[in-house]
Amino acid sequence: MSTIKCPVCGEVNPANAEFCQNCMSRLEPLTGPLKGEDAPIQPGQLPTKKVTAELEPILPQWLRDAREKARQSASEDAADSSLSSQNAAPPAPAAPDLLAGLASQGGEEEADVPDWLVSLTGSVPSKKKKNEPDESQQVKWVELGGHEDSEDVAPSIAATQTPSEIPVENTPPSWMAPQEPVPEKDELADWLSRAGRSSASPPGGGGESVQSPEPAAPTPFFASSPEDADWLKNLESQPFGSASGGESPSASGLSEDRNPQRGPAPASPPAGDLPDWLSKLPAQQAAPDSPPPSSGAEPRVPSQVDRFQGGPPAQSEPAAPAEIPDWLKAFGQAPVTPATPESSSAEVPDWLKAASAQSGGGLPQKGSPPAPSPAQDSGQTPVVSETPDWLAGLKPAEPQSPTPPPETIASAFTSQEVSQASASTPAFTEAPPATGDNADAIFGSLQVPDWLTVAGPKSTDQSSSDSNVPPQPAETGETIAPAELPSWVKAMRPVESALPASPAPGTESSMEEAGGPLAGLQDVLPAGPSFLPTSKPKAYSIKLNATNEHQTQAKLLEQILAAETAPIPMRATPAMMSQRVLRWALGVLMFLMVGGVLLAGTQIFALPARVPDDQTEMAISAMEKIPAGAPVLAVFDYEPSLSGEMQTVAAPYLSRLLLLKHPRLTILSSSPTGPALAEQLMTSLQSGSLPVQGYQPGRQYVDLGYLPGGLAGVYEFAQDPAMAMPLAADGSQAWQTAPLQGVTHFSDFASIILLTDSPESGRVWIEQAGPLRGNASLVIVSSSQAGPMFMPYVASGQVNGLINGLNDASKVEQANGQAGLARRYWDAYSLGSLLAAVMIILGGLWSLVSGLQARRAEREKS
Amino acid sequence: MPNLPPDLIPGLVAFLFTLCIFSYLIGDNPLFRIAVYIFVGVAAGYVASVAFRQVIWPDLLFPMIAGPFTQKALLTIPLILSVLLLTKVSPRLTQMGMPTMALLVGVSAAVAVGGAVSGTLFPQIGATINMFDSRSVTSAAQWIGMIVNGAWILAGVATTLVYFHFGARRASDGSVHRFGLIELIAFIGGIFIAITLGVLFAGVYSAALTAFIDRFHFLGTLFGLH
Repeated sequence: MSTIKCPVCGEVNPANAEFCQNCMSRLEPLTGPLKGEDAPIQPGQLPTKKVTAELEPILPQWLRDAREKARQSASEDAADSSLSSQNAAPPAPAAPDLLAGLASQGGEEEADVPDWLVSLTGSVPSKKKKNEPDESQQVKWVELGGHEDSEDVAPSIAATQTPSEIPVENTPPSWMAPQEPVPEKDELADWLSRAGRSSASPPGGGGESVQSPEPAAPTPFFASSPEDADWLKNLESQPFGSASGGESPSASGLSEDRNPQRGPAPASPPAGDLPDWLSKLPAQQAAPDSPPPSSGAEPRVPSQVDRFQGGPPAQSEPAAPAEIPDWLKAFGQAPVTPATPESSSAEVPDWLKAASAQSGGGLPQKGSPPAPSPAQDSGQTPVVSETPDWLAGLKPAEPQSPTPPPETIASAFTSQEVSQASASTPAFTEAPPATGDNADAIFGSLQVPDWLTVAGPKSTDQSSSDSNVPPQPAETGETIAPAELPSWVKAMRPVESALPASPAPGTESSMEEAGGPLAGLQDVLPAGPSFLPTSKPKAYSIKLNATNEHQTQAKLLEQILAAETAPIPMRATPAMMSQRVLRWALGVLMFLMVGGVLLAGTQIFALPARVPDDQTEMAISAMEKIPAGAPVLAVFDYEPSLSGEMQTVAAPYLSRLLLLKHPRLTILSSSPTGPALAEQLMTSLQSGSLPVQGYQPGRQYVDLGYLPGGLAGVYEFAQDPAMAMPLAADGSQAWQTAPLQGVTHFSDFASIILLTDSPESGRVWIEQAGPLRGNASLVIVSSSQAGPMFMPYVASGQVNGLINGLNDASKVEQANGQAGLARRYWDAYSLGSLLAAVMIILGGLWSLVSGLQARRAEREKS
Repeated sequence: MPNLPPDLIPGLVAFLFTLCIFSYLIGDNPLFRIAVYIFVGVAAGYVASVAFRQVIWPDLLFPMIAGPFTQKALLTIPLILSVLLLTKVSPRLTQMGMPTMALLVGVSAAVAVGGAVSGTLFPQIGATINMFDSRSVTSAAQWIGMIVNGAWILAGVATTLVYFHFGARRASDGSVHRFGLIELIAFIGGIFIAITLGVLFAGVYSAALTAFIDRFHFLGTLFGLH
């Protein structure tokens, strides 16, 4: 079953796994493999030289000047190339064109080249290693610090030892190789040289030790020159050792992301203006904060060390394309080379293996012999004298800071890594120190900055004494000032007002950030969620917990609500008394005037004049058109309360009709009380002013009785009268009586006379029976209260005549030529109407005057 | 025992009840209430007797007893509906009377709507339009009268209908007002409505006054005061 090893933690995972089972890191990059020119160079493959002259215009002026001078000094370049051929190294791949020619400036032209550039590119051709892939590989993981953590940590751990212990086999890149001829010395070179001398005696003492060659003129890793950029000056002014205890922004960021429990950083990070690849140098330098080898503090050993031991062997890093410098290539490449577990020893850099072999000690790998170096494999003489300057520079820097507190180390590595590290023995804990000639052989060509070598032994001593002591400044007498944060980093610092005043519950209080951009701030970085204690929501009881005060208030509220609903007796007001008196006065006045006039039988008021073509004349005209003896339907649809008015109004019209036309009268009532009122009317007609004689029930008229069903009954009767009312009021077959002979349909009636006191019931007859009445006339005898509502129907022709109230009844009496009840009631009616009008007018005036007085009184009061 | 007119006792009863009703002039009193209760009770009893004697018995019960089978079968439906309607008396069984009520309401509504449309709406609209029909006009005076009368009726109808248009807009200050022209026309329609209500009130007063006079006439006739 094929497996794949996690490039991060080294955990062996199934081949089909997408994420690591241990650290959940992605095993396969999302991006596809590089192809074409961007494809990585395989081991042993020479990079194709490409012309990058087109990039020259974008180079800085100083670089272009240097290149120009390089071209001019072709002869010196030839000499340098001869030196490189002495090392029997295979022809190194052409230096990147970007820096082409810079290497040739070593020697005579050194003075014209900036020192820092000399440090960068001053490697003589002889320093060129035959193993170019290794060179490029080293460059990359130096610049990125992340290519292979094992490789990245290896020099860091080595840096905890003396420079002589560092078995260096791989040659640094040419641009990083120290320049052997150091024509000048500056202040930095001085203290670097002192550091180199002080580091001549390794702390390990006995055994075979590789004695680092004392550099006659050690070239600083970065030589200062007036043309140097500011960031380089800052780099100079801030030795790497100053950042050992602190964290670079990148490193701190990494540690913050991985481990929230961060310890205080003793120093501030270096300037943020540094390029990333340079800024990572101090970050990597922080890695050597691992405990000294002799201490054997496994729990503090970073996992990288563990991976260094048991991790996959680091394969040769494919060389970057020639047209782009490796250090630039490294930005875009983070090669993750899968390693096989069988070659655990291969994790050790070749140069380190070679050094171990030469020193005779070898790496204390458990059960695995030291792997032969690539140089040995190739049968070539191993050249172990070239130790990368950066490695040498990192090495002495670590001793300046003693073993940092555990928090510092823990901040750089995850707890998982730490646990892994604790489970394995550090690779270099038992490595014999390189002393003597071996060391010289190893570091023969190593140009270790003196400032690093000087600081090494001191820090080593300190670290061996007490690993918990916070890092102290180097005893060089120079105070290592913390680097100032760039303005943009300062701007990104959280505002203190936005920070929580108190730490989160469940977290330890007051974790002040000692370094990095967040230095001085407390509780800025929250602890991981897994560390937060889980709390359940507080359970509240649903029972009402009412106190005595609450109960008292509740009772008070109940009393208030009860008082709101309690009826309040209305107090009699004088206004009510006045209204009652007024009512009595008006009643007495009405009684006296109306009663007096009625009882007196006066005829003071003239009867209303007959107006041609009015509704009364239309009703009389319609009656005149009724054939004699024709069937006529009289509908009684009024209530007993208005029977006095209705009989007074209807009597003259019906008397005239019965006397003149002798119709066969059919009586129908749409009100339950109608049959009785109809019978009373018929009785009163016989004893009226125009007595109607000879009309007997069942002969001259028939009473169909009550028509149930309301408007539906009316509609049904209009549709089929015999079906709706088959029986008379007395129970006889109505349609077989004489008054209804020949009547089968509603339209067979010659006239329909509707006696109603309600506009609603009258409208029902108009609407439901009107369209079915055919040529029959429809005359309405109505009360005064309903008459106005029938006027539109009279105007529209739906009603052929209207006898409305006592007024129209008096007109009919005039037409009959015989005074009746209408004339008898007319004076009282007229006086009563006049009295009502006068009282209404007087009441309105009184209301107006009282209102004005009230307003005047309010004005006076106001 | 002297001979009393046949209408004396009914007349006295009517007189007493008339006085009881007139007693309302001094306010609500037991005499007025007694008279009202008696009137209501008598009217209800009379209505019930009329309904039973003129409707239920001859139209439902008697045919169910003595009628042919076909008539009985047809009358079963109204009988069941009538019985269900009686369940409205009991609150527990009131739901059983809902079908009958639904039938009554539905039929009544349908008949009312149909009658209103065919008997009131269309004829009234036509009448309003025909007010300007000059075919029957024979003189200038009639023509002028026709125009004035038609315009007056048309104005009354239109303005009254506009009065019942309650669509309004909300002003910027939050107040709600109708459109200005609508408001003016509605005001005129309100005048017409006020006149109509005044006429109705006068008619009610006239009817009540006539009834009052009739009662006085009855009393005078009863006691021979005329």
